Amino acid sequence: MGGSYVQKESDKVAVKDVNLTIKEGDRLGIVGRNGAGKSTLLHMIAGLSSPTSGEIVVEGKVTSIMTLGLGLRDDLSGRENIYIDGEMQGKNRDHIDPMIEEVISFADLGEFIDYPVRTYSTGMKARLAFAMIAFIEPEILIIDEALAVGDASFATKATTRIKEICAKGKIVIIVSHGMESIKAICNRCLWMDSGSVVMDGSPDEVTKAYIEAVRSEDEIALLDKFRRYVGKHIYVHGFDFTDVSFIDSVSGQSKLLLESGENYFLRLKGNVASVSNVIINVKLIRIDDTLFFEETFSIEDFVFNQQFFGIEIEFSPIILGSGIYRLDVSINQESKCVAQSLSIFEVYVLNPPSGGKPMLITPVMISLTTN
Amino acid sequence: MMGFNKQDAILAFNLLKMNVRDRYLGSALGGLWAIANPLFMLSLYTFVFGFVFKVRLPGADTTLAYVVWLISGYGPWIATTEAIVASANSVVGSSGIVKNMAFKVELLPISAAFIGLISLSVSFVFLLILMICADNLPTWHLIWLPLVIGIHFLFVISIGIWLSAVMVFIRDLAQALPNLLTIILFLTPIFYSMDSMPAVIRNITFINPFYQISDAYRNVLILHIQPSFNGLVYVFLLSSVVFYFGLRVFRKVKGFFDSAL
Repeated sequence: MGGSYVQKESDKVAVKDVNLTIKEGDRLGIVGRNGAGKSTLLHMIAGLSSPTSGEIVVEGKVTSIMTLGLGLRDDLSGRENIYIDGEMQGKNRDHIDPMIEEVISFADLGEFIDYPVRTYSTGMKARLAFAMIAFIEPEILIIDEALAVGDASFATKATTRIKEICAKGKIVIIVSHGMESIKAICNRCLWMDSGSVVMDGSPDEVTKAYIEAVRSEDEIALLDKFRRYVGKHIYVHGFDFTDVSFIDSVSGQSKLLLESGENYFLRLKGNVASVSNVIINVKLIRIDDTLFFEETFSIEDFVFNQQFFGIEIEFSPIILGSGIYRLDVSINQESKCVAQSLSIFEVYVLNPPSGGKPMLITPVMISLTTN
Repeated sequence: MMGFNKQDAILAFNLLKMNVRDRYLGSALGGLWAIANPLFMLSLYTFVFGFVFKVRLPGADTTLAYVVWLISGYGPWIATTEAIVASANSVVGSSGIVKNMAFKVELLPISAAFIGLISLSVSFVFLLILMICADNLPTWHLIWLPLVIGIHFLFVISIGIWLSAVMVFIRDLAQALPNLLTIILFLTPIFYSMDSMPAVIRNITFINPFYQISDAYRNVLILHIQPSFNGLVYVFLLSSVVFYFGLRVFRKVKGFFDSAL
């Protein structure tokens, strides 16, 4: 299969120079950023749109789940809607009747199943729509980001159901932003960017590479943001910060994106005009204004050559929940702020725990640095 | 046949059912409107031409004979308009499933055209009542009726499949179509007889498929003669060609519906 697809409005090529063969038994996952051309590719395979050049050869019957709840009629009851959906899949009543109880119990809507759909909440509609997937007898199954529905317990049920349906299909192609569902369902993974295939391989390898790439792109974007937000204010001449940065204990490099659980130290350097009654205050504040860490040091212990100071605060390891944090350091003389440095950094968690955000922080070690 | 199988037939039938249901969904009288609408039009024309204008056919001495003659042509015309309009709007009107479901989209205009069968049935019943009043009962010539209906709908579908595809790209068609149909209605001898047309136009009218269809209905239903063989063959061949190319074009362009809808 190969081809390209031109969208008329902007003459932008959505999918370009893609050549791939999908064989029976393939469970293909497609990952990529928004606008990478994933959905366009799916639409072309499903026959919903045609390539402007190139060719797509599909052998078998394609069933697609692009949007859930497409045919829901608000004025009809949930039960009647299930019949309509079955009819849209080309079934007659005799085929639908044996399955309807299963669909109803899966949707788990209680008495609402006989009420008009317009009385449903969004979540209930999604559950009904998802339950209807039962009618699908896939040969080639295409699923476009339809995996996440309902509350947590329903989402688990839904994922199990998707896996069951996928097991029935000869070929399954899934677009998802959920790396876990791709790893759970697929045996092959495609990473698309700007309409081309960047990588084609095992789900583990490709999702890992994809996440890495997204992370480094994000880091660049975050840095850009920092440049705008980072601020240094000098209120009294002679007091100044020359360096405020987190350093990776292993590589020795300055970082703005920290991995929770790894070792870092915070390096503070600067000038002071005097040392008497001068203290340095360090605060870590989460973006929602929760204070995580506050420490105050008397400057005298860290000053050399009368006017330079250097402090390293070790976080071994740093344990913060993922999120954006503000680092707020200030020099205060007689409880009046004389210099201040504000910066933003981000913490990510490689293996996020389920449940709430952890708010633990380990005690820190303070050492003097003179370089 | 033509790339369709039994499964598609079931789906087409389901789509038609859905179409009928959606049309009257939410209205209190529901499906009754499917009968009430053509009934209203038929009654209106019967009243205006039969009781207000008192039109008579040449050679006939009662107005009722004209009304029977009128309805035998106008009833199928209502079915024609309904079918063509429904068929032409079918793809644009179901953009949701067209954009998201992998299925043979060409089933939409084909199945939508059959919505005309409802009006057709209503007008047959209406006509039968009028014919009983006029003491002009149907004869064995009705055995031609299924053939006439078959060719009628093949013709309507062949037009609908073109219009439905064009409509996706030129939405103005939805506005223009009713006017075009009204023009065709008055160009076709449905309200007036062929004899009242100027000779030049009369000769051209023979190639008007709408005329051939209404003529066939009239022959079979009220004149009790065989439909014109040449006329039916002509409409059949014309429809087949239009349908064949319509289907080919439709299948060629349906891949672009996604971005145009």
